[in-house]
Amino acid sequence: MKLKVSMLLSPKLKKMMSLFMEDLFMLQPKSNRGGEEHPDFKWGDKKAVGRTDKSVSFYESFTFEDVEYRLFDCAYFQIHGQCETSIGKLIRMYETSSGEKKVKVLWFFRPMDIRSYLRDYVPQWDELFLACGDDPGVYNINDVDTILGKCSVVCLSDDRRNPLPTRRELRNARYVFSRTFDTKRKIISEDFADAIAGIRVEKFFNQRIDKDPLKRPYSSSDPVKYFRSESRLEKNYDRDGKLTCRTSPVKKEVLADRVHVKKYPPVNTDITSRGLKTKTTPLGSPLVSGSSGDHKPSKRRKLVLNTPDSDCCPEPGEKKVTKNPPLVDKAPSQTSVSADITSRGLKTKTTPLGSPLGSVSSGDHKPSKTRNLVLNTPDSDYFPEPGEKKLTKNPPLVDKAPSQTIGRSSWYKKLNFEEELKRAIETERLVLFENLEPSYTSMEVENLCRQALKERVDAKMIPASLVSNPHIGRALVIFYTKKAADNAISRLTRECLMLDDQRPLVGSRDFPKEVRECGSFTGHQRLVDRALMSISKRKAVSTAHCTQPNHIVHELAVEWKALHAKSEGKWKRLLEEQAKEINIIFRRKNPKNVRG
Amino acid sequence: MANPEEEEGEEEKYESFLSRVRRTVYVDELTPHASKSVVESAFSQFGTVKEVIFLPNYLGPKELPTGVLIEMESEQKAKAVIETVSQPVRASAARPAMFSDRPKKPGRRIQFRWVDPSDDEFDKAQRVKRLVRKHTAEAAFMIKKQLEEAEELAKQQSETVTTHHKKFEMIDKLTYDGVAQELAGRYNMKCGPPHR
Repeated sequence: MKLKVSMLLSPKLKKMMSLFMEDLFMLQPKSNRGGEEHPDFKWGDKKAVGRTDKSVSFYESFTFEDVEYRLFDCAYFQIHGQCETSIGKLIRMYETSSGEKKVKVLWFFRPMDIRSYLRDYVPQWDELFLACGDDPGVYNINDVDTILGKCSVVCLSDDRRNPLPTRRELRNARYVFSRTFDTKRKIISEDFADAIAGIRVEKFFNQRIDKDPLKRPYSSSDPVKYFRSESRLEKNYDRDGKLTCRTSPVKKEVLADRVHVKKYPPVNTDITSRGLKTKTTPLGSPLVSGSSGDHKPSKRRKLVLNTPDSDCCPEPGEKKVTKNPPLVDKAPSQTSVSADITSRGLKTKTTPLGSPLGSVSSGDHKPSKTRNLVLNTPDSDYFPEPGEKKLTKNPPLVDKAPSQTIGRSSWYKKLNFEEELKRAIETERLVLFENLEPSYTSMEVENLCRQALKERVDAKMIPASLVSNPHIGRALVIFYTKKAADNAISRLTRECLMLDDQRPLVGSRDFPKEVRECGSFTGHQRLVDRALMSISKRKAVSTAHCTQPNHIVHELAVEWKALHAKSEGKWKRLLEEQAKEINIIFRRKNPKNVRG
Repeated sequence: MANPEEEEGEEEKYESFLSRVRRTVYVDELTPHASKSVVESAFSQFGTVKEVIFLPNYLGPKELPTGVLIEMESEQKAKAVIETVSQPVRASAARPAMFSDRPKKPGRRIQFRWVDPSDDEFDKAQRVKRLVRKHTAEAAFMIKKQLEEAEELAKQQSETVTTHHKKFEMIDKLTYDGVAQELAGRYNMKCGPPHR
């Protein structure tokens, strides 16, 4: 019965529900895995060895429970005592001499977490904030066990170092972020400093596949990974959609008190002076462990903390060129081929640090197990959900999220748009947008819908003609469901979506229901003696030559010209009147802003 | 995105697009039966035709004549076309908004905001929205009227043409048969020899 419920949900609702369910889901007690080694854990490519403590190895990726996590992927973490998972970016992964597998995580804040500091800013429903600043709560070091699953987070920042995501990437992203939250100063900001937690900020932005083969020793394997991840994406998304059906009823008593506001301990181990920028990192343990020792007590109570001197290892200096060949980052969270975005200057990405190939294998993986974070005590338990193995192995694909079934790649979209149009009209998914700026492109309209209405759509700007209003652009927008279309229209009518230049967007369903081929055409006379001409020419030929005054057609042509002139005059007047009417309203709004 | 390299790239693209626009002629009132090759050959009398794009008619009544974008090789040629081509086909300079595959304007970021009902501007915005709807309706009405007028004219013209044609035919026949000459003789008028 849960299957049916999810089938009725729109993709956005599904996403929200799956997020919500995941969080509740995770609070299940797990079976005891106490002493055994992690059976489904495997390191990926080794990156480096610790400089002072050679027994520590740094890696670029690992596979855990059949999910590959690369550096700068984002993942969900379970925080004991909280309903919601935490999301963080894996900025380092290593194994200590004692065999402990750790990841250093830089946190994202949910709007809920920082709601006291939001002030006037209204975040999107799937927006996160990247932690930054000098405060110790910005990152932590955790055991690999604490990872619940992978998460796709895409950066929408305007920063010039950030390549904006493609439409597909946006569609597949779970979360977005475009701002940071400075934990020390408690400020939300759109500016990204050059480095966060000692790591260059470019790593936090979206990654692109490097086009320069010289830079990447692994380039041969990349295209393969890319394609695999594409299909992975879709599969994962299906699984996510599936997730909502399969989650077991939540045990309400597990919902502990939510502690939302973080309290930052006054202890301030100076993160910036971690000496990462210098080549000679001191033992580093005081700094690193100090940082891990700090944690927001209210939130991260049960995170694994590094005991000082044990396995903390100084990381190789970030600027060391000799050790690691300069590799360019790849997308930490999304596939990195950009269809429409112009090629990014990769000049910004000359990191000397051997930043490993970020993951191309992105996409969400539904968290299959939940567990309490391990304290320093070894005897904490975690219990996998009974029957969970079934889910991870082979979730049957029931209803795919609509965005997958209608998933079309852009290159054949143009050809099929007319068909889509017909289908859309039948299923009432078509909406007409008016009062756009006439120079908008279809892509921009789609982006607009995605951001403003939170809906994925296909849009096509209606090409202008001589009789179309030069101030008003129109577009045909096809939503994925009738419901989405209805919602959009009602929202646009009830409320007001204002575009640039004080244009409120108008959405409606007023269009001629039949868009057929042109029927017979007026204005072309058939003269009987045209039989000699070829068939196609016959029909079109009366317009194919310019008439001379002694031609019989000339008179007729003159009449047509007169008619055209008259109608053009009428149109001009109409458009002037209309522009005036709009201006009147605008003048009342804002005397400086006169259109037309 | 304020990446200067990107912006340049975008601007370049847009510039080249604009120059393409200047070279292109927008022709409408073309018969829907006209095929691409016919149009091409018809306009090649003005110069080489680089490309012919038919504009799809997503909206609008089905009788609305199709528009075609014809890209010539240079701006002057395009201007020449616009000036010389006459009726009932109409040629005019193309506008960027006519191209469906146009690149987006460089350096433009779409911004939007949801206006709260309590905001001052909300009310005005609602009025503007209504106005826009009204304008569309007006435009649709205009188009309808235009089509009707065009039909009227066409009907008129067709009558005229057929009558003219009939007259010519008749006269032709008469001269051919020699009847005209006979009549001319009777009425003491001049008449050319019969065509054979």
